[in-house]
Amino acid sequence: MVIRETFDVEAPLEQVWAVLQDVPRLATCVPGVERVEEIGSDQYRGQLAIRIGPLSARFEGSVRITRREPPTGLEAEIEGQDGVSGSWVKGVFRGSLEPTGKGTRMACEVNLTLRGRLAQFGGPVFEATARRMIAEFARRLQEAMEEPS
Amino acid sequence: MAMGQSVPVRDAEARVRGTLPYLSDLRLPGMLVAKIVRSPFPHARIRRLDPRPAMGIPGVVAVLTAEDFDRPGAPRLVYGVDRKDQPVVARDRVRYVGEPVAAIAAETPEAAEEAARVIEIEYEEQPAVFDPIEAAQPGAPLVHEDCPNNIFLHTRLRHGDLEAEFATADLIVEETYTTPPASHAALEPHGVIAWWEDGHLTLWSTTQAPFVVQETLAEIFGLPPESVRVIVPPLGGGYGGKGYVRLEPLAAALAWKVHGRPVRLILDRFEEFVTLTRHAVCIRIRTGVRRDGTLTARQVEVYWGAGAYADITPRLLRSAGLVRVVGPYRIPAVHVDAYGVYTHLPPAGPFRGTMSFEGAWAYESHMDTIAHQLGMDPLELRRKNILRPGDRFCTGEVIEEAFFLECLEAAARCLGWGQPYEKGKGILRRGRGLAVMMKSTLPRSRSECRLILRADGRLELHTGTVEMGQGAHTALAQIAAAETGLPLERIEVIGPDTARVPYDATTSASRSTSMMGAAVQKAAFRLKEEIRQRAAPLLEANPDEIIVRAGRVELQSRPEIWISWEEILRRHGLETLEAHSVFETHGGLNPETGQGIASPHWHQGAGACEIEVDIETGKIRILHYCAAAYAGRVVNPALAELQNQGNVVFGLGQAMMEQIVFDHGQPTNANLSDYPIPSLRDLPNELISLLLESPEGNIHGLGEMTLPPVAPAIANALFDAIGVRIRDLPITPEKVWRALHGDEADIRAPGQRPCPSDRGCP
Repeated sequence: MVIRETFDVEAPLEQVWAVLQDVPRLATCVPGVERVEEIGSDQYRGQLAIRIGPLSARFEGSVRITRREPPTGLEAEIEGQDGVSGSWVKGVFRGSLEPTGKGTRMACEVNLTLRGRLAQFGGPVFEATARRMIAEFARRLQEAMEEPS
Repeated sequence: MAMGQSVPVRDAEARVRGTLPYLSDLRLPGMLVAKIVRSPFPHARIRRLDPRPAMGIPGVVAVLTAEDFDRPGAPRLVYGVDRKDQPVVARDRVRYVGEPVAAIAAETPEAAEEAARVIEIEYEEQPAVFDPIEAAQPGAPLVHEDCPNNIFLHTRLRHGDLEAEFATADLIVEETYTTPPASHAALEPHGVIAWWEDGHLTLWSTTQAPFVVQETLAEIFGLPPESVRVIVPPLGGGYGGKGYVRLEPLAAALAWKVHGRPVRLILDRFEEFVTLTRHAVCIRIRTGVRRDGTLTARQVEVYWGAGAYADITPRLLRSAGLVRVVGPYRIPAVHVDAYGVYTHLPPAGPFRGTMSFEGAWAYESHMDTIAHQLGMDPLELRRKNILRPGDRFCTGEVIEEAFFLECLEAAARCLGWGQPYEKGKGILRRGRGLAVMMKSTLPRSRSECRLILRADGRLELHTGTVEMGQGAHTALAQIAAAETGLPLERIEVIGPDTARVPYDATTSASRSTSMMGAAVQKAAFRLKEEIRQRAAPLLEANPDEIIVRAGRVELQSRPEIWISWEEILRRHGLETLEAHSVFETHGGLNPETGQGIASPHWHQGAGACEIEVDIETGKIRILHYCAAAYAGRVVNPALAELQNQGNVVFGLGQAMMEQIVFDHGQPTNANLSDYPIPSLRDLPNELISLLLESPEGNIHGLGEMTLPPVAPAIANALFDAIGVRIRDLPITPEKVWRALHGDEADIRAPGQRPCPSDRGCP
C-alpha cells in the first residue's frame, strides 16, 4: 500500500532539513519509537510500538537511508518484524521538502508491504493508523522546531 | 402431489431461529482445538522450522509439520484431486500468503494460539508473480519448479476454419476482459472435526463433496475407503468454496498425530479468504461479423489464474473452461485456447457460476460492443445468432433443448425492451442492458440413492446430496413423495454420511435436483416394483395383475382387495424394504479439439435491467432487473424463485463490489468490513424472477442460471446510459467515475487492449 501525506511546518526549509539529518532527534518525533541506535553509516536499529485495531505490536527493525538530495529529498528503506503478533513490515519512505510563504511543506510517501497477523485487519485500517501517526509526527516535528537544538 | 408445490424448506425455521446444529455446534468428549500456522510470504524458502517451543506450552498435545509425513505408516504429504501438487503443510517452500506451514492441536484455543506464536520459522523471501499473464511469460518466477512458464494445462477447442471464416467477416472486433479473485463469503466458515482411532478416520466436515474427501483421504493415509467415514452436517452456504478437498487432509493428519481424540478446526474470516478464491481471469475475445449481424468466427484466449495449486482447475479446463466462454451462438468457426496458470496467490476453484460468470462477462459485453459498432439493436444481434433447437454447438453437439431465445425475450419483454423510457437528465442518467448465458453441467458424474421403506410406514431417503441452505433435501423429499405417493411428512432424508448413504459425486454445478432427483425417481420406481413382487403372493395374484398405489397395493380387477405397504412388510417379517439406484451422465471433451459431449443438458438464463448512474459519483443504482431461466419441470416454485433471485443478488456483488485486493500477494481486505457483499440496500428497486417451465420436460437445476448475465447486463446498461465500457470487474463507482473523466482513456475505446498485466493482478 502507498500512503501519501503532506503537511506544513512553520520553519525555514534548511532548519527542517537539519532535523531530518539528525536521526536520533528525528526519532523522538515518530510516535511509538522506543529505542534507536546507529549501527553503521546511515543505518539504524530500533523499536517501534504500534496499535492497530485490537492488536498491539512492537516492531524490531532497521532503517537505512539510501538517498539524500540536500536540502529537499530523502529516501530510506524500512524493515521490521514483530514476533508477538507474527508480522513483518517492509517499505520505502520518500520525503521531500519545498519552501512555502510561511515555512516548509513536507510531502511523505510510504510504500509499505505488511505481512502476517496485523495485515489481516486490511489496508484501510492500517492506512488510517499510518495517517494518524504522520499527523502526530507533524505535530512533534513542529515542536522540535521550536525547541533550541 | 408434492411435486410442483411451494412447501417450505425443511430446516428453514431452525436455520432462522438459530437452533439448527452446524458443525461448530458439535461437541465431542475429549475434543481438542486446532490452529494453523500460516505463511506471511507469497513465496519464500523455509530456512528453519523449529516446532519445539510450541510443545512446551501447557495444553499443547501435538504439532504437525511436513516432517511427520512420508514415513512408514505416515500419511502422504502431497495430494491433489487432479494434479498432485499440494502439500498438506508446506515443506521447504511456501507459495502463497496464508499457506499452512504447521498445525497445532491443543486443549484450549488460547494454548493453540500461544503455540502458533512461538513456533520458530525462518523464511527467505523469493521473487513472486501474481498476474496470470505475467506468470505465463518466459522468465517469470516459477511457482512449481517442474512447471515451465507456470502453465500447468493448455486445453483447446477447434471448430471450423477460423481464418477462412474471419476472411468472410466485414468487421472484426477484439477486446480483453478481466475478472479478479473474489471470496465465496459463505456465512459459515470451513470446519472439520477429525478423529483418528486404530486405523479408522472419522470426519465431520463442511464439505460439498464427501465422497471425494473420503477417496482423497483414503489415498493420503493408504487406507481402504471404508476406513474413512465422512459426515456432513447442514452447511451455512458453500457456493463452490467447500467443494472437493479443502481442510480435511490437514485436520485428519493432525488427528492422526494426536491419536484417539477428536480435533476441531474452524477457520476465521481471514483464513476463509486465503483458503479458496475465484480465479483471476483474463479473456481475450475476437469475433468476425458480417454487416447484417451474422457472426462468422470467434477466437477466445483465456488465462485461468489458479493460484499456487491446481486443485480442481485442470478438470474444469477440460470442459467448462472451454465451452463456458463461447456463448450460446451459432458460429461457423470457433477456436478456444484455455490456459491454467500458477501464481503466488491462494488456490482458486469452483465459484457459483464457475467459468460461466467469467465467460459471459466477456462474450456478452463483447456482443454489445459488436452491436454498437454495427449500429444494431443488441437484442436483434443476439436473436440473429442465438442457438435454436437442432443447432450444432462448437463442440459438435446438437442442442435439442434450446430455450436461450425464450429466456432472453422473456427478460427483454419484462423490462419493456424497445419501448421508450425516461433516459434521465442532469447528473442521473439511465440506460438499459441485457445478456444471456449458456452453462454446461458435469458431463461425467454419478449420483446414487437408496430408499428404505420401514415397517412403520416411514420412507428413508439416503443421499449424499449436501443441504447448504439451498433446499436440496426438501426438493428431493418432494420428488420421493411424488414418485411414491407417500405424504411428505413420512419421508426422512438421511445423509450425507459415507458410512450410511450411497455414492454421490458432489453437490455443485446445479446438478443435485436434476441428477440426484433422477436417482430418487429411479429408486422409487424400483421400490414400487419390489413392493409389487412382495405383494403378489399375499394377494394371490401375478405381479402384473397388481397396481401399486400410494402406500397400498390393490388388485387391478378388484380394487376393493388391497393391502398396505406396512402390512406387506409385516406379513413377510421384514423390518425394511430397500431400493438402490444409480444415475449417471456420460460424455466429455477431447482436450485437444474440444469436440465431444460437454454436458448432458444445458443451463440457460438471461437478464435485462435498467440502471441509473450518478455521473458525479459513478454510483449505479439498479432500478429494474428481470431474471429469466429455463426451469424445465419445477419441483418447488417458491424455492425455484428464491434461487433465481439469489442468483441476481449474488451476481450483483460479483458485478459491482467484490474483489480480493492483493498487495504483493497479501490480501488487504480479507474481512467483511473492507470486502463488501450485497446488503438489502444494494438490491434492485424491482427484481422480477421469470421461470420458463416445461411441465413435460426434465427437472433442471436452478442454482446458477441467472447469475452470469448480471454483470454484462449492468455493464451494457452503463454503456447505454453514458457511453462508458467497463471491461474489468467489479464495476465500482470509482471505475465508472475514472472512465467518465478520461483517467483511463483506453477504457472507453472499444477494441483491442492488452491484458492489464501492467496494473498488477487482474
